[in-house]
Amino acid sequence: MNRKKERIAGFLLIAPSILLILLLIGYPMVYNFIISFHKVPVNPKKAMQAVGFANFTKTLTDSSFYSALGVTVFFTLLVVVLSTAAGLAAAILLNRRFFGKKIVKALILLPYIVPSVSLIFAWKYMFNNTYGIVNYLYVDVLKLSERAPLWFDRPASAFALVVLFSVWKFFPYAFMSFYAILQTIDKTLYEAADVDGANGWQKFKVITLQEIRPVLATVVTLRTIWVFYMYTEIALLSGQVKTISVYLYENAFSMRDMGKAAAISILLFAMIFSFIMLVRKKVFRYE
Amino acid sequence: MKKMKKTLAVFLAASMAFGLTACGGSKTEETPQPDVPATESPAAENSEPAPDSSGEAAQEGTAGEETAKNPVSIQFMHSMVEEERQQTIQGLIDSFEEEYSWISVEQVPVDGDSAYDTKLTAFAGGGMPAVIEVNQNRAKWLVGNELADLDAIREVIEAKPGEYYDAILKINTTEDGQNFIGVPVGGWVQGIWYNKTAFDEKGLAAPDTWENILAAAEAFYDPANKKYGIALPTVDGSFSEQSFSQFALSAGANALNADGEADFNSEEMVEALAFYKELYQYSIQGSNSTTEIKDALLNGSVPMGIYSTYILKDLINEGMMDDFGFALVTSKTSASYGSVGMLSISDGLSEEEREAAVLFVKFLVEPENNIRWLHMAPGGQQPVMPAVADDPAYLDNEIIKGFETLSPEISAAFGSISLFGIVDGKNFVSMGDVTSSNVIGRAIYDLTVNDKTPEDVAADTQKQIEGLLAQ
Repeated sequence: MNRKKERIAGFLLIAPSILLILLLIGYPMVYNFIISFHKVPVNPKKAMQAVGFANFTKTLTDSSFYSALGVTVFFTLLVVVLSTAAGLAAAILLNRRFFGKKIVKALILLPYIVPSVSLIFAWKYMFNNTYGIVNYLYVDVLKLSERAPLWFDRPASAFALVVLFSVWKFFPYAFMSFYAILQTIDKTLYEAADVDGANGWQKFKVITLQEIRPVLATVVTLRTIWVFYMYTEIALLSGQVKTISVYLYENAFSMRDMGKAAAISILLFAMIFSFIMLVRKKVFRYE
Repeated sequence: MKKMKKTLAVFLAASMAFGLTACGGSKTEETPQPDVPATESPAAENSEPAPDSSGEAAQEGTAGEETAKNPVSIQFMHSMVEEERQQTIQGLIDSFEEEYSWISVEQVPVDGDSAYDTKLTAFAGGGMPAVIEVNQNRAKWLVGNELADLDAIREVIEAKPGEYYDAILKINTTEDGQNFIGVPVGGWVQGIWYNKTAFDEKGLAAPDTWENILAAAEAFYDPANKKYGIALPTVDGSFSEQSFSQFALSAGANALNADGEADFNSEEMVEALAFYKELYQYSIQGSNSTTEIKDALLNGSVPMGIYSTYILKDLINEGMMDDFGFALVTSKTSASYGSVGMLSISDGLSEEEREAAVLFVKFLVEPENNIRWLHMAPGGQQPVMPAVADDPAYLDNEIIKGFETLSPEISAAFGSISLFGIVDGKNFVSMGDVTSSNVIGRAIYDLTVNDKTPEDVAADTQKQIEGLLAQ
């Protein structure tokens, strides 16, 4: 009887949170699902027109959708792996005492705390055709080309630069997370490993990696979701990197096809949710 | 119980993932896009002290009426995000509220360009602000989607008979000629800004015809010394459409025909595309937006470039005004691109809100208030009413005094405004959808930066416009 009461009390305690989630996330989810089966007029006074699976068919038969999806998957993979690896490497390197450590930490955090728009304009100035420092070095100093390359206008170089920018901008998040967890690892574990004659890689694999796994799982999960849907940095740096968020934005706000945009978001949600569940179940099974 | 827990856990995880993705997406709404002159940000200054309102608006709101009126509050959405401009607008609102004490107006500043479109689309889904500041393309979009109260807009304009320039009303009239798409408050024009001193030194004629533009671009082109013939808009955005439209319209080409159908594949259009591509050879290469073009004009990398009147303040501040001239693109006819800033009144307001919105818009277009509005970006936004243009209070501004010598050219540009979608006096609102889809801006980017042929670009764009109009 007591346990039943406890259960009821427990549910009552979490009820406000569930209610909020239902209201703020559940309702938009359901509404998004509904409009994905409709042609939605911009004017709310006009009735929505049921179109069945037309929005899904339109999306799934659009070659641009698959191309954007492919670019996004590749982009997400590169940014998540590189920013996580860079963050972890920086955290391991800084997890010791040395002169000027605070300054180095502040410098590492700088790109993460400066607003994206300022950084994007700084990068665009760096790569400007007539007065950018990069082209000055590339063309005038190193004489690697007669003309300044169109860095942000050619798909391959634009993609590489957007990846580089994203890794540079977001690796401090991984750094902060790993740096915090590294400080909690019991030093005696490493001392015991030293006694057993373990080398650096073995210590990293057996001790560090095992201890940071919960944080690693969180960093990878959150970063995957964020990078998969990243729009601001990609769209402002170059119009030539056509990721799924750019594709979705164009459908929703340039073409104002809200029904199709809703269908795209449902498909993407299903994909990313399945992927995250799979990764957490197969790769980060630590419990 | 275990199953229930699991279900709950999965639901919460799903909600979290959806919530996080939503968070990621929401960032976009707040981000400024750098590719349209409408979003240029000349700092607001020289706001005039708030004069007392008078005229019609004042006559309608008498003290006796106030006691009988129920309090009503309305929202005013605009793109003036700079703090000084918001202060000026707040000053106007305060003056208005003082006069109409039962009305309160809340300003909703939204960052420019695509973020503005995003917000507008979101608002359209429910709860549009009563008064919205828009350019003609957005105004057309609102009218096309029956989101604007045409009767209320007409009521404001008809209260000011003969007070607007004819060219402004031409842009402002709906395609049936019966209504107006918004209430004009200011406007800017775009054309070729050129360094007269540099042109004189080389003995070149002003770049006002296709031949003169090309000759000058060739004469100044010296890439080895980082000097280029022209700064030509090529960005994948509406700035390129604005710029190219001057060349197309000057050759007699238009994006739509007299029946409102797609007409981008005409011989004249291909000719204009070919000329634009030829000109690009002498331009700074790559995607050129407002930043690149303004920088190039001010740092001397180019002797001419296409830009709006928003450059005036920079030319004056840099002490370069005397060196610069302004020319319109001419082939068969002169054509300048212009954008009219308008106020739209939303459809579906309650009677009290509608009345308040009409009073507020009438108040904003009263000459003394309009002058305060224009002085937020002196030189950038030009008067749309002759009475305001000649008003000593308007002219009493350092920046405006600084380009007095160019005033005739700028006024002529207003008279020559031609826009895609205005054919034989008909102003097709469907052009708003074409512009907002960025089909033409992307076509110009493909033509120049991606080196596509004029014929392919014309054919491809024609198909896309046809598709858009079919929707």
